[in-house]
Amino acid sequence: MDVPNGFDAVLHPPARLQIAAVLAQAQDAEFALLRQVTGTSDSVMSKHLSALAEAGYVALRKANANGRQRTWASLTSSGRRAFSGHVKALETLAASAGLRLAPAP
Amino acid sequence: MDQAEALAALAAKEKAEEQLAKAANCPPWRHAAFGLLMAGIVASPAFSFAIRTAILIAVLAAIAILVQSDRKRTGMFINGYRRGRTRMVASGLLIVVLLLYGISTYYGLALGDSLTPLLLGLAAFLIATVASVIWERVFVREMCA
Repeated sequence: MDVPNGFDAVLHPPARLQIAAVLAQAQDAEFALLRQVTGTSDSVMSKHLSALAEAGYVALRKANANGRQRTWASLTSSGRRAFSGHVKALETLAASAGLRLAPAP
Repeated sequence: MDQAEALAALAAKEKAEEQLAKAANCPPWRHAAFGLLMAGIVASPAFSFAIRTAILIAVLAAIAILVQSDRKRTGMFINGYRRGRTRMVASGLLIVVLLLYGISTYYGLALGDSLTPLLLGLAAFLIATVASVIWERVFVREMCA
């Protein structure tokens, strides 16, 4: 089957889609929360965030809290557009099979 | 990419949204704190200019503190006016608070009645606290839909 319009290879890995899903709802989110939601390690999360930032989908900032430096991420407007288009592409692809979405495990 | 992969990706997205809803859980004091801020604004016309100004400055400072507290507690900040069904709740509350503030200003400043603004402030506290609880429920329902 052809890949539908809007499909975005940068957002294809599930962890990146999950990061974008969280950031689409929150104004910003801390590294630890994103790692917890995606269930990835620090190094894997760093790589995903770097890839999203490199694509211009995520803005990263460092902030000090209780003497420790923490990384905060937010979705850029192009990231928001890409996420929305990618989700629509996934829904189109899923619907074309005539399947219903199964509840998340 | 095939249909099964698309379904798996959408399921992963939904799982992330469900976890987000859990992480965004607000304790009762947080709802009450928001109600108190709205009450402060609405009740402020009951007081003299100096106290009114001090209340409004305190409310602005408290908003900043609440945002910081949310970030520290949950690891994120969700804007009350975010897109989605919750915007209806936030917009409705804004209209009600503005209406109460307008009435309070009329009674407090034009008529010199300080009791009515205080009573309206109490009403604003109750309405805003309940609206905050409703907002959270709508958000959780939207994330877990």
